[in-house]
Amino acid sequence: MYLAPYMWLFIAFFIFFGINTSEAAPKDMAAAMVRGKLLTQENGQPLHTHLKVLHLESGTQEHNISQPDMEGNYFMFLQAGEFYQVEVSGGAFRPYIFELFIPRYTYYYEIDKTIAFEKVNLLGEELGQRTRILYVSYNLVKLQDSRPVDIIRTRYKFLGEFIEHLINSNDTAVDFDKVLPKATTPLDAVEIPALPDADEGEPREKYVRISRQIDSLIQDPNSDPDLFFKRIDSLQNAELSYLKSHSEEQPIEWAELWEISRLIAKHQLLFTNPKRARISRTQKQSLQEIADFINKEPSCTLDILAFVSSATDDNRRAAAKRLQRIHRYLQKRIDNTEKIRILALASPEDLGLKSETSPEGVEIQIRQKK
Amino acid sequence: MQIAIRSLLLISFSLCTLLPAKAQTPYEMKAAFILTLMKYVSFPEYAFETPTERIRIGILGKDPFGDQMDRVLENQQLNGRYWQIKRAKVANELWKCHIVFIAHSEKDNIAEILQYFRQYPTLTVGDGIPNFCENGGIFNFKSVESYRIEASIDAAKHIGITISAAILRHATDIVPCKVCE
Repeated sequence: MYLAPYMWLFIAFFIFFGINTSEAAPKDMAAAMVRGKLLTQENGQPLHTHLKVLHLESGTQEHNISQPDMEGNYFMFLQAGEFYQVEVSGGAFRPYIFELFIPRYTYYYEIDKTIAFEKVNLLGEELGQRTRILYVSYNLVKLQDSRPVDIIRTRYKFLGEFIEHLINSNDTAVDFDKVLPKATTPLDAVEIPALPDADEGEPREKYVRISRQIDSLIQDPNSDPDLFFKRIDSLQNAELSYLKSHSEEQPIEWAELWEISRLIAKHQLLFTNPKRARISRTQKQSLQEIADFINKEPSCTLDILAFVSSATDDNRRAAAKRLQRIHRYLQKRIDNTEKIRILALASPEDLGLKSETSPEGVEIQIRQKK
Repeated sequence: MQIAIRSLLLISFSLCTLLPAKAQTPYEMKAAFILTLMKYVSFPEYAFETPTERIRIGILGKDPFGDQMDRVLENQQLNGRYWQIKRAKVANELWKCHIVFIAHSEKDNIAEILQYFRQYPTLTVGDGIPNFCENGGIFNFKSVESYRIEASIDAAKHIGITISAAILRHATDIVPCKVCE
């Protein structure tokens, strides 16, 4: 078979790039930059703590860990989308262990913990100390929620602080060639997933777990769970069809759920314009705060209730949109999405509430297991 | 038949060009390193004319950083000073820069380049340039692939720059400057 000379060039080009792409990182292979601070409760005394991080599934020890320095700062580079076990040991006694999940597409994760040392005594003699965590705060940033320039800036800031941490470390001399390549993350190869279009239904599989918990009308365990879905039968848009699609699922025993948890706080997001569904900056801040709280409190969950004005179909559509947007917003920020439940989308009257106490809006209830 | 093969090859070519570029380069880290270096050096008072004068970074030769550094430093401050980046092919276009990264592409003229910068309080950083510190350069990455640094305290002193001991501790070599008097 005769091929013109330039064809051979194409073939060579193809082979070259074919080989090269096999080295390119998959789109979510970038390691998340994890940093944190371990502080003593008293006054930031030097901590003689050691971090050990295990990948939970494989049981292997992670090595891209830089131990706490004199100020308690530590750095890690961990694969996103995985579970880890972090062990903080302050001596020869029982270490403090916690599980860490880094959601997919997380590129920056900050964990601050305040530690107290408890004395270990035996027969009146002090044997040593063990660590106990008093306060924890988390802050994570996902690729989807960031502008590319912010990702680059965060990354530079992180790398700069990591280098400073190494420079200031106690080690006599750091071999930068051994340590710094561990921090090299192929972020450029990461495909930043676009935020889903608000009007486009999310893929169903994302909702499979939650769908098992979605039903309706919590207040009265004996009420008809299909009530809400019947009310929106006439509406055809994507948000509502997503919710409707779950009406065939088995209803949850709400009364039972109600008994095992108690309401500890609630927060209302009000919308003055009944047709408006956009979440404001202030509302986002409060949602972020709620998400942070849920992430650090293992026994807490949250329920979302949206109140629909029965006035017009447009109002109902806007209410459903708000519910969906708030749900999505929280889903992206809460590590364990099983902690989120959509409980109701109904008019306050249908829920047996007075409409003036529950105006157009979404209510988030934070519950704690009893 | 030939048309079909040509079309197939052209499609393959187009697809190849759309694939993500191989991303891992040492220069992102080197850029972060250089920016961090600024925290570990002190300039003589006359290096800045005003308390808010920008910190000027010069890149001499073939720029390996692309536009990332510009994007990172835009509207950012260090000790109350904004940053400014300048790129040039010849040394004298960077005469007021506080820090100059000298690309590996300039290795052949390094003695001449460094002779020029020794007149000013300019922190010079070489990218794997042989005899960099001997010729009056201050920091030099050991090679283009390496993050290890060598440093010259003599060269820094010669132009009134003080380097923190914290960073010198991690230099693989402290090289005497042969041209600093």
